[in-house]
Amino acid sequence: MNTTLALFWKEGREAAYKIAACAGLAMIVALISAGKEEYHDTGIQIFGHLVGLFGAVLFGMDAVARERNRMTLSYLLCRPVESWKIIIVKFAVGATGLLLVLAAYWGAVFIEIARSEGWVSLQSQIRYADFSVRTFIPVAGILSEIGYIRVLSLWFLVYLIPYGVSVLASTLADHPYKAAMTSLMAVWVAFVLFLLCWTLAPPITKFYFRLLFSLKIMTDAEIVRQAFDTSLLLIRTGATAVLTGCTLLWACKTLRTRSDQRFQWTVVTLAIIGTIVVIGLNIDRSRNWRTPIAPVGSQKYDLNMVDLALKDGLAVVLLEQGLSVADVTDQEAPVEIGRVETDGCRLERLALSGARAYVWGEVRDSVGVMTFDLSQPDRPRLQMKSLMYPVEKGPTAWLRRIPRLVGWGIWKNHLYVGLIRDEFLEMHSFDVRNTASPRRIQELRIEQTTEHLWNNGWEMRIVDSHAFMVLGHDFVVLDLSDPGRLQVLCRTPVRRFGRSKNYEKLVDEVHGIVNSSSYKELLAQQAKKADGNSGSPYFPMLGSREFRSSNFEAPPGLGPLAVGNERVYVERHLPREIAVLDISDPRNPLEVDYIPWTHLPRRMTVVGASAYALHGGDIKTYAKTSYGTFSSRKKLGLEGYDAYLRGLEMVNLETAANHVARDRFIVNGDHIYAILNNNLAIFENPRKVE
Amino acid sequence: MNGTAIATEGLTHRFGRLTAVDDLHLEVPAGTVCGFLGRNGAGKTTTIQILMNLLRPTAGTIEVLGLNPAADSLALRRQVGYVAENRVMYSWMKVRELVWFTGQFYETWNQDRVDGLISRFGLDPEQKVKHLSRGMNAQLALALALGHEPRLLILDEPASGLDVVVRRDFLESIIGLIQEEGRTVFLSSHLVHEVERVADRVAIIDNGRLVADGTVDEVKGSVKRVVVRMPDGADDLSGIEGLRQVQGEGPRRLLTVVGYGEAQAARIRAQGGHIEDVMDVGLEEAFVAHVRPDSGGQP
Repeated sequence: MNTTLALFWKEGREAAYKIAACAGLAMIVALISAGKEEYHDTGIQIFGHLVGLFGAVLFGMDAVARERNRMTLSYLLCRPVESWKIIIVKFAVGATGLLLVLAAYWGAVFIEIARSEGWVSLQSQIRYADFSVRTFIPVAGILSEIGYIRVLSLWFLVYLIPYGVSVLASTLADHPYKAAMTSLMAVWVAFVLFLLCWTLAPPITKFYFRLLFSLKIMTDAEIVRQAFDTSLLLIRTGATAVLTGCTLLWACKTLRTRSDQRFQWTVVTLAIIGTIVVIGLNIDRSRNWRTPIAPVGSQKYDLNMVDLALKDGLAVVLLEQGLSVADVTDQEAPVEIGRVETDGCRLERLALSGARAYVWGEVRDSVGVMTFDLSQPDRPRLQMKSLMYPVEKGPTAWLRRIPRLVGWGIWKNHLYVGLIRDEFLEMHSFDVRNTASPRRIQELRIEQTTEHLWNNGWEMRIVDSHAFMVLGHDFVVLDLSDPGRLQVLCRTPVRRFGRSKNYEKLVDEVHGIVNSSSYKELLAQQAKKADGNSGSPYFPMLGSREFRSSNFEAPPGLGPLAVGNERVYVERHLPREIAVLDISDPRNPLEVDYIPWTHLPRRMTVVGASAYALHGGDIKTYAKTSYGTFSSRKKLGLEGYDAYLRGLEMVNLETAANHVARDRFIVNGDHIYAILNNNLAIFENPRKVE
Repeated sequence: MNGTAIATEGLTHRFGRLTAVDDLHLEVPAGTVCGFLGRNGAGKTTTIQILMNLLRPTAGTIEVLGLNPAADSLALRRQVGYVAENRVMYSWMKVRELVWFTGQFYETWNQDRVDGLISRFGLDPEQKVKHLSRGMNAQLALALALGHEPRLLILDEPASGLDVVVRRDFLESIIGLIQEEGRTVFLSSHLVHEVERVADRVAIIDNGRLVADGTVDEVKGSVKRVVVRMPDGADDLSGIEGLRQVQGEGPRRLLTVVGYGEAQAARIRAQGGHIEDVMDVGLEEAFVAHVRPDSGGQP
């Protein structure tokens, strides 16, 4: 006698046709979603979720409700077999079906990718320069690096939970369709709860929710992290085991009862309430977000704007090839009062000190600091060029070797310039006290900076006598108290998780390949072949800033930072959150908190209890909540900016040179000054009371 | 075989506001064939489902073969054979597969016996269950219920939906088996004459309450038909306890009385009636009398 075997035999026979049909359908869906390369990012993921969700519901809904509906359940329940054994066998067979369907889907995705692109590895993709910063690793690369089994396991672990809910609904329903509807509504209720927790719960809840339930292959290599980090896998497995275990216990308890319509009605009621809540939240959101607050005044520029600074009622606007001064004493009517154009220059960053403006830029075949005299604002003039490094020519206009500016700022009559050259980050200090020509007084070299090349959102903030910046995963504090003796006060990794060896190995491999001379030669060859317009993620390092500006999303590592109230807010892409560091002791910065933030901003400023962040082409304002996190409030933007954004997203490598999106903003008391889409826009600060 | 196979005390089950079984006191001696009679919706199936632990009672205690169905469910199901009212089995299985599947649940499974029964019923082991006629389906269900040689066989409307010939064959099969082995059979039905053919005892349930219980003769004997001649102008028969029906017009009346005795006879006489004859009734008439509401002396 083998009761379990008999139950498996029966359930297997009953489920076999459905498994075969669903697996076949999943393969067709996979071939459609993975068939065209341009659909990879969205298609594979969205269809993967659909296959998982509907697979879970389809296999769960039949578990008990079908037997109850055709009245065979009592035949089973009258046999001397424990209820839990019946439920477990039913669950196991359905879960196997779900696994097989997901296996078929992902198998077909892998095969289709292999068929259309060859069995790619991450290394080979990098070698062939088919590699994008925007997504860190293309989907095909992600999948082949993670491997079929890991991808399948991650997806299966997530969809085992709705499957468990579906089995429970099936146990309490008298018809499979009722069970399916109840399951879908239960999933909807869970989603609404997820949203509510996301919106209202303290950060710790948000963090663990995301850890447990998110599954992405599109951005930030989240799935890579989840697949390679054993602790994350264990947490997810544990959560799945607990949740499905609870639903199974409930199912065992209710198997011998009649179908319980109270459960269905409860779920329906909760689903309706959830829908109302979501609609309410959306209405509330749309009130804040849909219509951006228009600027009180704006000034359109015909040249590309790249940087902005304020001084005594004047706005100094750095143009790509020039410098403009605007009178902003009347915020509603900013007027350009003076401009100097610098033909043959490509200007990049601006800092003001006294009556001079210091600008980092490229002049002919060199890069360096340029000084502009602003003593007569209506007649600004280029005073001096202090060139520092020559630009090494490449095979095309695009492929040149330029030191990359990663830090820029003025403090107490000293200009600080951070550059990446080769393997080093160089921090230069210039004395700008008495002469128009900045005098370089020190150069500090920081080693092992190659990890930097992952980051696009370079930013150095100088507060008091300290400069705060990020190097890959490290947070760095420089002591500027003696400009002639710059020193690193502290360099510390800001990580949430322990190191995942496989993940770090993968990142190291990427760095190794990218830094190899053969890769750069390959880039050069490709660029030559493509008539100078070939794409590479490492144009930020090798090429011009225009390309850099079109790649906003940085891969893993720390992103831009903001400083305020003895706190530093640093973007951490994995997971998407902002780490909060206490810098009251700059030698020993301490991570004291974090703010989950789904859409990490490109630039961020914290003033008191308010935060301002640049997302896309809008400035969004946030208020600090009682939990210490920030909740969204108002959106400031230009009319018609959506079209601009769409244009930006559509930008391709051939036309990238024509686009500049160097948006910036400065919060200055009652007003916010921003450059958005080549406009100097002045907004009233909605949070000025703060 | 001595002892009690089924015993319930104050058994009650409610579906929301509807009381399906109401304070049921039932006792079925072991080794008997007990017919459980009642109209449609009287509470028979609910009672059986409680006995099989397919439903939890709202109140009351139950013992089946000395076991509590809720606490000793597994042990009980090893000793009880059950044929449900709908007799729905896995229609996609072949007879052979269903026999194998069912046999896997029982340590005491007697394959030879089941094979013998299937052969006796003329069932084809390779035939799919969905292709069996209703009669064959019922016979297969019976064979499967007897496969593990249960001490108690519970049959819920086993002959419903079957034509007369099949019904008779089916019941004769039961009779034969019972006669051979002396097991306890608890047989629910609303087809009284069919039950009368096989049962030793009868329990009648109406609106969830037990209204009669005993051997077939006792239950039949509990109802009498009384021929009464009433004087001219006197037709008041109220106050006769257990009076279920008054038939006839004029001075000669036919009364159906449950629990007829001296008290009822004295009452009739007191109202000027003259008892001409007292007649026995069949089980069907006794059943009807028990489940019919008290007429209160109105014709």
